[in-house]
Amino acid sequence: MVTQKKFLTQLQTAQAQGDENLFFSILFNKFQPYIISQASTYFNERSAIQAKDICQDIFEKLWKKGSEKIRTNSEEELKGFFKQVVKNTCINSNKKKSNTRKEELADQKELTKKITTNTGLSSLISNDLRMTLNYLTTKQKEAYLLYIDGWQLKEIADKLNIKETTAKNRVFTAKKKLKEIYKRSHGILE
Amino acid sequence: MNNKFQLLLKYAFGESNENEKKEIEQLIITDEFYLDTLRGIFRLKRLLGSKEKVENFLLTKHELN
Repeated sequence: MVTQKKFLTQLQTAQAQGDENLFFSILFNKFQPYIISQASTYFNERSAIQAKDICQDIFEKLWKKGSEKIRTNSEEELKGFFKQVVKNTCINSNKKKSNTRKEELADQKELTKKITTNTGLSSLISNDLRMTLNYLTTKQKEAYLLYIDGWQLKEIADKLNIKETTAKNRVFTAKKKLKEIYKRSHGILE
Repeated sequence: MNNKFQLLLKYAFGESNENEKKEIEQLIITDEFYLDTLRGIFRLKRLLGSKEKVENFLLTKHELN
């Protein structure tokens, strides 16, 4: 209780004196673990790194806004405040990521369409293969279609703006995956 | 020219029916030799243009008949 009171007094004094450095360093030291643990609940993968990033983002924004807007009446109030800020920041961050992913997927779809149209392969391949190609990632599909169309790995790399080794890996993985699928679905033995 | 090469040529020039397409695709996916051959035909198609020219090239230069 004494520690809590001491923390609040130090914080309020720093705020009153306009000592932003001290104010935010007290706040950061006190609430960093809480913010990280709250933020971790919003992310599935690599949550520890993302939660730390969120914590940094929050303090960067608060720092820019200044200390006067933060109410420092009690630790509970501050906890509630940070809980809400973490929630909003994490939701926005996930939304932003999801929008970026959607844009990337749309771009990739467009690119695949362009490639199949440009190579003329879209009218040549069977519906069966069209369906099977869906088991590949868009990147693998692009590389594989260009490969079938007779382009060399170097040419594929140039067209897709990737390294030759990346093109090679994508084609190799695509060939391997398709081989597996065909062997399973057509009962072909080695 | 053997039957498989005729099928590959037809495939490359969009003359295959759905069953022929499936047969060729199974070949190119499971056998690297046919995949490389089809790739070669596509390259020749870009280079020479018509099916007739590609066919003649294969017949005369590679004696595939």
